[in-house]
Amino acid sequence: MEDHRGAPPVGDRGGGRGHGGKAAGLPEVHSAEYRDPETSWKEFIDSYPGMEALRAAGGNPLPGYVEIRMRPDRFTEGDFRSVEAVLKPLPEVEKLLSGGEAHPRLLRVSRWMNVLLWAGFYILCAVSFSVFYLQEKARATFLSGEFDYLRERGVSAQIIPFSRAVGTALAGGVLSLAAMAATVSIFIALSGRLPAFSRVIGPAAEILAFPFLIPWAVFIPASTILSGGASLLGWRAAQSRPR
Amino acid sequence: MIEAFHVGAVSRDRKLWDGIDLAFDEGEVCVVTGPAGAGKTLLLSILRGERRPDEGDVVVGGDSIYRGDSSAVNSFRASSGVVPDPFPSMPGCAVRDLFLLSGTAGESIPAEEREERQEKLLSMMGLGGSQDWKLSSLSVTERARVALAAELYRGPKYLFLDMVIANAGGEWTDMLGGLFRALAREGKTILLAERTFPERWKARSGEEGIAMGPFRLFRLAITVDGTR
Repeated sequence: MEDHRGAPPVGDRGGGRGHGGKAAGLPEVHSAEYRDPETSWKEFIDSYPGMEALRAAGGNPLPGYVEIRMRPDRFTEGDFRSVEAVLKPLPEVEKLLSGGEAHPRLLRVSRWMNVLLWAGFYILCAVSFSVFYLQEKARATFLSGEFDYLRERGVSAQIIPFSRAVGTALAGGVLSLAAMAATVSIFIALSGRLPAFSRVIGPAAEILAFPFLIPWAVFIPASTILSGGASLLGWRAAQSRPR
Repeated sequence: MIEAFHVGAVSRDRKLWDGIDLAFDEGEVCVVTGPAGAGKTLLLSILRGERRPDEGDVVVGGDSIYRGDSSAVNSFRASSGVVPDPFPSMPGCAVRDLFLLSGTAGESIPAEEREERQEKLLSMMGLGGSQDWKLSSLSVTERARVALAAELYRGPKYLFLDMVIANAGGEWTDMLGGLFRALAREGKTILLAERTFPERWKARSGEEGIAMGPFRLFRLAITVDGTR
């Protein structure tokens, strides 16, 4: 997940709450929340204590603002422009803060990071599969005496690799389910204790949202199938070795 | 009943034997003898459905185990026990694991009976308390007796034993003869392949046995008076 916020400061003339609602209705926007000038000032003082003197002359120097969170799947330059295009003409909007010139660069970095992380994930899958395959091959070779023993005593030659594959597939599925549960728990626990963590990664509640459940739902059967496949291929490779 | 019709075998482009007819009834102990290299092990493999003969066929209970479907040979194997020579090395496998494998291949044995049955069989073979010994640590004679005990654990209908008497050691010959006769009286069929017929055993078919190709076939007298 990414930090997907933008904030158009809304002038003191009011109407901010209405603009927050308008922004929230845009298809690219996940949520939009209006902060009035007083809340804005409180946040500023919390972040920069000792700057109360700025208000000594009377009056609040800070405007209110609308914090907009983009949908993770609409977090692109085009979608940002589209939201900006809706908000910019509004007379109450003084400025749109969305990273300025750095923003497209950050998005590119984010895209490349995504590509790199996915590549890392696929490499990890390939390495795990290869290790699992070699391990299963070595195990099948090591246990060849036991398998011959069973085969010579009427246990079907198809049942032995099939039952092994089912066992390893189940083990793979259960392990990935456990890994998934552990990841979600750690993520939720860290988000609660370290607000900076959820600012960087995104809100913890999203991990249980539908778009995130699809990869989880794919991940478990995929690791189950890969485990079973590695077991079957490892068995075949062990059987084709000359005794 | 196991019947072999005109079976012949070729090994390394050399005809070992052909035209051999054999029949083993239920409740029989038969010993096939022959010199080294005659093909005794091969004959046992053919009779238990492990190696298709180059000529002829093997029929068990009226069904061919080579020309029928694979379920026929699998069910025959499931009701058979085999002690090969040499017994395969199973690295890391303990005596207990061998019993576990044997139990897996056969009908399930009630959990409460397993330990007792294993200990009884091992004690009978002079190896009581050896469940945790590694197979690789056993001598040839111990391994032959443990392998036989593991087969008996499953209670197979047919037993194919390759060089078990020779490997088990001379002091076990009489005991094993008695055991096989007792099993035969329960209706089991036991086929042994040995170099020579054990001296103190009594054959129904006479001291010379029946000549069949390079082999001699001896049928062990099951009753004390030698009538069967």
